[in-house]
Amino acid sequence: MRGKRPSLKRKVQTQLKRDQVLKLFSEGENIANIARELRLTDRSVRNHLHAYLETQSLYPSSITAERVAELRQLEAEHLTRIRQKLCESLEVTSAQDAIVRAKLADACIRTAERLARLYGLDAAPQPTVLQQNNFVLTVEKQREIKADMERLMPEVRRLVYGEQGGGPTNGHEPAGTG
Amino acid sequence: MDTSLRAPDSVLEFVSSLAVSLYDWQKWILLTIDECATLVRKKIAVRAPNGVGKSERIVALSALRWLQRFPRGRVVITSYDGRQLADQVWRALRVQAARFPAWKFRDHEQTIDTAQGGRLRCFTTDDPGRAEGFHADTDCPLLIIVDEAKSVDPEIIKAIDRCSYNVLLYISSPGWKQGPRTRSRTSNAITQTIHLS
Repeated sequence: MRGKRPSLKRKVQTQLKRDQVLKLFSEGENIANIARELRLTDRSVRNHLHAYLETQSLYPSSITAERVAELRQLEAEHLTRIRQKLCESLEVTSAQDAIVRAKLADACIRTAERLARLYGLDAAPQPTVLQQNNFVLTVEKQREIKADMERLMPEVRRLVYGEQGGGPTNGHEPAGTG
Repeated sequence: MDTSLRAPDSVLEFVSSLAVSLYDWQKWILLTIDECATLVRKKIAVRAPNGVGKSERIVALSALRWLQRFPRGRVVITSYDGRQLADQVWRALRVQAARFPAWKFRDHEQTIDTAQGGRLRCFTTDDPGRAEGFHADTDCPLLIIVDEAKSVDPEIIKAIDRCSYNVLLYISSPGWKQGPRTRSRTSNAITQTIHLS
């Protein structure tokens, strides 16, 4: 019943069913087979697996790392579908439905955050030091730059290291100044 | 088009990679600052008319180049008026923020922090004591830029001069022949003066 807390009996039944789902899943059964065997719908099986991921460790001792990865992949696909539907809904809602749009946007964000957590993107942020080293140099006028360097550098060196000189007075010709 | 992951060799390459075009005199000044970067206590005085791109081009680009060339370097930019820094210099720096994803541009403090510990700071003060205390180190060269230098209090200029900088750039529009910029031009042999008219 909606809005009512499940009874202890119901909780135990759910937990037992969930354990059965996980046991079969850890033995390599696919979702459809598990659903058929336990007389559940595919969605219910997915929900049980999803609940297990939410409440239990990501690496329960009964299943291997490969199966966890597979489980994670299934969860990711599920979340991606949800997010896609949310985004589609967000696009079709009009600007007047501000509350609906806000709720949809919030749900989109939470789904994206859940996906990011699932893949461990939030756990270890990438160091930003490397980005600075990867400063992409896009020079369109390499030849002009070389010509400018050859033309201007002698004057610059003369000014910095040698006699007092001057720069271009009107932006064209290098000339002496005071 | 030459696209590579190498660092720009010269300030002109750096400027080109930012898609900014310069006049000859602007290139000439930026090259001079770049050349002086490895020296110590070099003063450069630039006098140029209003509206020719002193703050937007010379100050902003030389500051960014300094931080790009010396990731642990320090840049201090000061001016007579805080509004001048906020409206012109900081805005010109902020325009290029997207090209430096690893740098943190803090608008309210008007500072830029590089990932390696370099820092650019824009500030104005009327207390000479606050203009002291900026010092270069072996791998942290210091560039000090005094924008609108003709209007800055001489006491503040003196305080800045006590810092151990690599390059001190006075940049200003033309004014009467007095003040720190003129004195530095006439009395200090190591000052390089670039006069544009």
